[in-house]
Amino acid sequence: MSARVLVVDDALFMRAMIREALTNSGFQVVAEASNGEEAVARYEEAKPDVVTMDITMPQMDGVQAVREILRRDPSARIVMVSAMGQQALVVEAIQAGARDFVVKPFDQTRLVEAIRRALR
Amino acid sequence: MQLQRLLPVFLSEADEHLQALEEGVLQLERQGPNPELVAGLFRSAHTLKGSAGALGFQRMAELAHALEEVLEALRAGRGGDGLADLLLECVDTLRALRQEVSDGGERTDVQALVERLRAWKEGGAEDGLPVDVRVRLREDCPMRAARALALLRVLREHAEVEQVAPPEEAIAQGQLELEFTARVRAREPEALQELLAGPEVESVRVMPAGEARDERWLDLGPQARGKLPDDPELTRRASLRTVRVDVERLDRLMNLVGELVVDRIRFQQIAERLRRLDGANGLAQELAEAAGHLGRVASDLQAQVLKARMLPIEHLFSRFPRYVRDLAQRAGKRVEVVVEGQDTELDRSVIEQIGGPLMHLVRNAVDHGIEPPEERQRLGKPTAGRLRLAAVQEEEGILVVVEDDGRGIDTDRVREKAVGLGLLTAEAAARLSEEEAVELIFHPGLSTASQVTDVSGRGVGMDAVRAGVQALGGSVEVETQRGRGTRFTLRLPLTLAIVRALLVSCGGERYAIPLAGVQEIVEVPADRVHRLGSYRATVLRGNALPVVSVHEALGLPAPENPGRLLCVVTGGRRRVGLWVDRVLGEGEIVVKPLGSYLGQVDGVSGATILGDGRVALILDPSALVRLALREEELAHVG
Repeated sequence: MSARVLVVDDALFMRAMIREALTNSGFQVVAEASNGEEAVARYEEAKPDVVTMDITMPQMDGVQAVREILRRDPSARIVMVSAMGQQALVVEAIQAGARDFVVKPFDQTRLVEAIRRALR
Repeated sequence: MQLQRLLPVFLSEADEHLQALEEGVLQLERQGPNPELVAGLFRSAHTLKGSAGALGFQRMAELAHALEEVLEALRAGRGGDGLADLLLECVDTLRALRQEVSDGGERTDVQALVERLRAWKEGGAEDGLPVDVRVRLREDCPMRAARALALLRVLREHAEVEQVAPPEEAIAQGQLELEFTARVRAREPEALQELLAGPEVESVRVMPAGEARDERWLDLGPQARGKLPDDPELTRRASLRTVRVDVERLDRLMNLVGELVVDRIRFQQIAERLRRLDGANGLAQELAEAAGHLGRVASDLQAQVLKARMLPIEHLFSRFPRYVRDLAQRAGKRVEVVVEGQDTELDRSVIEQIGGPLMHLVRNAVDHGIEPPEERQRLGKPTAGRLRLAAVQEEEGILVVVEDDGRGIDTDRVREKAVGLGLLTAEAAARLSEEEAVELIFHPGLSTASQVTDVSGRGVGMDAVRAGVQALGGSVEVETQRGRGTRFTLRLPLTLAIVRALLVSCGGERYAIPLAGVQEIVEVPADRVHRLGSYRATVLRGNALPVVSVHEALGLPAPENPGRLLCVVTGGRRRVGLWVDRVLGEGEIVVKPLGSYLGQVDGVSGATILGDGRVALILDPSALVRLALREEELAHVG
């Protein structure tokens, strides 16, 4: 069974790119969300194995979404997708319980590796 | 220091609590725990902890805290043997600390006792041994702080993390350069290395837990290296004569010296050409002399910088007595550790990298080598086994010996296992000499397969030990005698920064091959090399020798006319012939790591700058053997 992924990013382009990278590596993207609130809702519905989470998003940001998802499901596996210069936020996300992170612009293999590590 | 005025009050109160603790423990021993008694003990420990902490008596506070935790566990119903002894030892140590408060000494170390108290609290054998895990991130790792925290998170899932340096809060605030060290307890410390590896991670080192000193800093100067006399005045004066230097700075210095050596050679070449041009002209002669002097200064400078990077192996050895004690306790054995030659100096990078292999060997000795006390008694041996760790400097490098007086390696069982695992046929196994049978323990299939014990966990990984030592340009030898013991000898280079190497050319490119991996150079006509698919071999003195060209091994297009010279290189007990065009000579080269742009190239361990300013790749003999033998396997399958 291929792992089921929820992709969260406010940019359609990034979602498409992540979807493609993951699909090529045998993952199954089961849902997408474009902000934190939506991410929490999609997570509840789809119960994915792993989430890729953008940080800067409207409504609820990625760090808050991490806290919210982990509050509901402490075993959730979340990989942050961060822009350069957002280290403080990534640190916050990891302290909140995110498993790993990649920094944009990233190599597709880096993302896939990070997701595999998070699933381990 | 307002609180200092309260010191007399604290001291007399401490005396009372210590007295109460002692009486309580004795009562506990006679009558067993009852809630009221334990609660009374707990209060005493708690009060001591609070006051000692407020006054800044860290060790006392720490010990009282550990005591408090044990009493808490006792209150929660945890029982066990030997508790009274442990608690009394604790009271005695607290007394000694209280004495030091009044006379100003700092003699008593509480760490070991604190750890034993913790071990008792957590039920002893359930959790693993303490080890230090040092992670170094790559220079180009983005968001180091976040990466470090993510790695610590992974570590937490597989081990109990007791302490992190720099502390996590500091890391979160960005106070991290490239390295952090975590003191953890893990059932399988060896597995941590693989778990933490990743593209952002330069290296992961696992070593027995040692004193929490930051080894990124080297103390320079003889006073700082040895034990300092206890006289505080002497200590103060000695410390004025030493400076602390960041090791990275030394590495950079080493690099610069390397460049200087290259420049020196160029100067000499220019002087030589100039001399030929204008013969008797005095200027050319003067330049040659100046270049010669520059050369001597550069060599001395190089030697001094190398020396500055050296550390006594004591830094590593000093951790083992404690490690062995813990291992032995868990295995129900008695082991006496003898350490020799701890003053022997080695390059810091070598010391860092042999920690893992030494841990493996020591674990093996305690688990599999040394017999349980009853068995030893029956055999007429002293009940306590002897484990000897020794280091000696030889001309070309350092020998490190790990030796036990246990049962030796049972070569019959090794043969049996090898046959059982399908590594060889029963007939082939029977034909092996004793020496060859012992060598089987280094086979990857055998060493990770079956030796399962409580202490060693899954596998023992002798192949990893050999690979680790070979990666340093060293070698591992084993001697064993049934019933008498086993001795492993590690031959290590003094430094990794400079190696003696053979310079060869292949297809117009130059390569350096560390001499430690070169066995011989032979001339073999092309028609004596036979092909089997992509695999080639020749016969050398009656034995088949796989042959590869450097280009093939590195996956480069093959040159039109391969040479006739075979450079026989070894990796472990296997060898291959490396096809080269010409041998250019041998000499000392300064090893530089490949830039992160190239990353890891299999078969290449680094690069060096030659005298004429050209760059040569440094080949890694054991990796080349591995690459070549992979071809061999493929050929046999196909």
